[in-house]
Amino acid sequence: MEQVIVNGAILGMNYALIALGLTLIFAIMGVLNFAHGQMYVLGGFITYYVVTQLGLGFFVGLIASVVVLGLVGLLFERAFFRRVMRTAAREESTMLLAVGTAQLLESVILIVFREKQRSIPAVVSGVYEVFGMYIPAGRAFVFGVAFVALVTFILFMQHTRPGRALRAIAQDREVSTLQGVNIDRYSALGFAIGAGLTGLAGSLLVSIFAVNSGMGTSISIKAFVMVMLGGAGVVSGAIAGAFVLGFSEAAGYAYIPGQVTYLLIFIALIVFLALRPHGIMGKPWG
Amino acid sequence: MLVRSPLGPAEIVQLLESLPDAPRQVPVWTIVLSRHQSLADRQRLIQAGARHLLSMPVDDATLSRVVRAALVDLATSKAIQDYVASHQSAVGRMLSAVFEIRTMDEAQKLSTMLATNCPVPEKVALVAAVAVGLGLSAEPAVAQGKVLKIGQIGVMSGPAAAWGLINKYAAQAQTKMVNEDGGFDIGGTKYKVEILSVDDKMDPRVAIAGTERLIYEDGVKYIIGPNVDEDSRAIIPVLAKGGAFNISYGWLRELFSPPSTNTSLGMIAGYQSAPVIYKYLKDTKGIKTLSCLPRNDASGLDSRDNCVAAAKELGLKILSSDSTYEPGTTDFFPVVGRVIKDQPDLLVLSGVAPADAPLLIRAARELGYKGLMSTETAMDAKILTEGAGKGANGYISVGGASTPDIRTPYMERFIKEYEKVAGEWNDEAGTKVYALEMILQTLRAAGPEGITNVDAFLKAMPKVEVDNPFVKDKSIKLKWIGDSYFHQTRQVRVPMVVTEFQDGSFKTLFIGTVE
Repeated sequence: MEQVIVNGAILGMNYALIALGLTLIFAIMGVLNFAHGQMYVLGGFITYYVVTQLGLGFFVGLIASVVVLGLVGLLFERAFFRRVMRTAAREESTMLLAVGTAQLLESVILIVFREKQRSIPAVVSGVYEVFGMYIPAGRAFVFGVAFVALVTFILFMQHTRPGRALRAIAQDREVSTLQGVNIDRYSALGFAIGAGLTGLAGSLLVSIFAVNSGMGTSISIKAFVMVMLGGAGVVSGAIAGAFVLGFSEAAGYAYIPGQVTYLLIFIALIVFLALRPHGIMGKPWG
Repeated sequence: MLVRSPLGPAEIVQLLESLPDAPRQVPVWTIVLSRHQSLADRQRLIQAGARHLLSMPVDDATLSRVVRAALVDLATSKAIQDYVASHQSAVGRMLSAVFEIRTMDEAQKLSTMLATNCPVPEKVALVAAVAVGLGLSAEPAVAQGKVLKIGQIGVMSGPAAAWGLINKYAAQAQTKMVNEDGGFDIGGTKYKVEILSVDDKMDPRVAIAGTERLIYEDGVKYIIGPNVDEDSRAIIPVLAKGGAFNISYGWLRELFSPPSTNTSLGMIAGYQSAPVIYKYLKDTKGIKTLSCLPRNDASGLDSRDNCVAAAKELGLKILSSDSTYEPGTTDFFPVVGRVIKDQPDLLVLSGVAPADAPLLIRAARELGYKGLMSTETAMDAKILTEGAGKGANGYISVGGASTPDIRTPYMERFIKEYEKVAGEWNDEAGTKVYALEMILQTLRAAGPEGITNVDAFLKAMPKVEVDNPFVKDKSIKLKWIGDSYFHQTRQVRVPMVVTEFQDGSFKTLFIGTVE
């Protein structure tokens, strides 16, 4: 049981990092970023490249991943989404565009980084055994950094001017405009931060998991589950959704046959959304 | 002309310049082998007429490739033929003779003969002078513009992209080698090989459409792939209708058993290697218990069933077989924790994808598992090293021909070509190198008719038995097997190279056979 709690907590924190970027972009832009998983993969590959090919330290790789993904997010928003959102009459257009960017990123990653799975050595090695629970040092390290990143992000959103502007846009785009918020600038910033957070997740997790060019879609699906569970567009909801999924997985794999673990998770999700379509922390009015 | 000098490059330059007809004036390939070649030496040798500079020691395969390319040039160059017809000098006399060299022994004998005609025999040993004159009728003609199209279909995008891409890169690398050697001789005509690839996206519908395209639009009769059971099963009717044949990497027995006739297994299936590996571990390591951990998809669950059946057969106690993990899982801690809580002697990662294996191994080791781990599939050493580090030491898997202690120079050459095509070597490709070779060897046995008629190919299959060019052990012949499993010879005889991972590379434990 203790090990299940440890596994669930670590899994939940990892998932929270993945879900945050997705929910932020959804909140600011109203776009379901289908390329989210591919951005995560790109973040992992950049860190891999910096650490193993350039021989630089992990933290250099981490910064490189965040910066590059931030720029990719900025590029996507400026070159694709802003343009389409202005001109398209139907909301599905942005969805199709998001699917297209996912395919684009996946192909580029496959061409540049090839087909092999990549990972880097754990930043901190060793395993702690506490009261019969196994806690690998690498996971504890990722947990710690992810926690710091999470807190920093929440503080940024709550107590800085750009953070307040982003929250205002998330609540009501039109009213924010009337209040003098520069929508274009803050949409771009929001997309860049969302993508940068995803890069951070990919960078951190490549040290305890691995990345390969084709895993983006499954990451996106899990991120969608977390976001829908917690309430689309709500930061605290994404974190809650991530921990619910993390603990469900950990407990499911521990106590029920693996073949039905995810089946039960999806059944529970369907039932839950039927009863509470706006998720754990979402508001019924959107 | 092939020149090997016991002296330095300077002496070879002197020799080339002192020949009555200096090679730079002769439109014939001059191949120079020497030990130390600086950049300046190489420039001087080229200026003196050398066409190819090889550093010694040179392996047979490289030398053979260069000589064959020279032969092709000699056979087709009008300038050379005109030169031979008009000159009676030393070089001209060599060129006017017809020499056919097939082995290095023949080359040595020829060199002795030619040395007597060399203008400066005391200074240089001519190892072989290859000269093909006008009487080329006995030499296989390179079919002008004749191309043998081979299809390759497999998953080359998405999570399992590595499987199909390895097939593609392996086929491309081998094709490059065959074409550089002048093409593949079938019935006295040499064919250049061309690979046409289709990504089936691991979707049976796409596999069907892709196979139809290869057969009807590209005129392909022989196909390498697909990689998985579902796609392989889907294209069987297409192959039968279109009169085509494929070498599949799916494992299902029904694919290769009657009434299916046009599909062959290109590797060793898990149900063939599992009993062999478990028996080896039972006999040598004394294992008594095992747990099987498959991925939750058709191939993984099938491998799990095979794992259970093989373990029961050997009297091993199965502690766990109902745990699975979802495709796309990144964190294996929870699932591995459940499986190893009983501490089995052997943890079998049933049909595991190379991408998942290091994460599963790392999770098991971090959770304190000290027992053995194995799989029935091929792995890549670099992926294991990066993902699991020393935790993967002792991990047992099935390789192809890539372990250094068993591979031939030809396999070394294949690895180099693969690196050029794919960017870096992948040990899994050692199991994928056989498909194209078997198709070509069987076409040679079937004769030109087999190129367009798969029935002729099928009839020739039992007759094929040639040296395996990839492994040193000459007793391991390349042929079609599979009667005992499929009631017909529908499996490539890939040697079952059981390997153990140790400190970044694979060591051969033993070479088994499925026969």
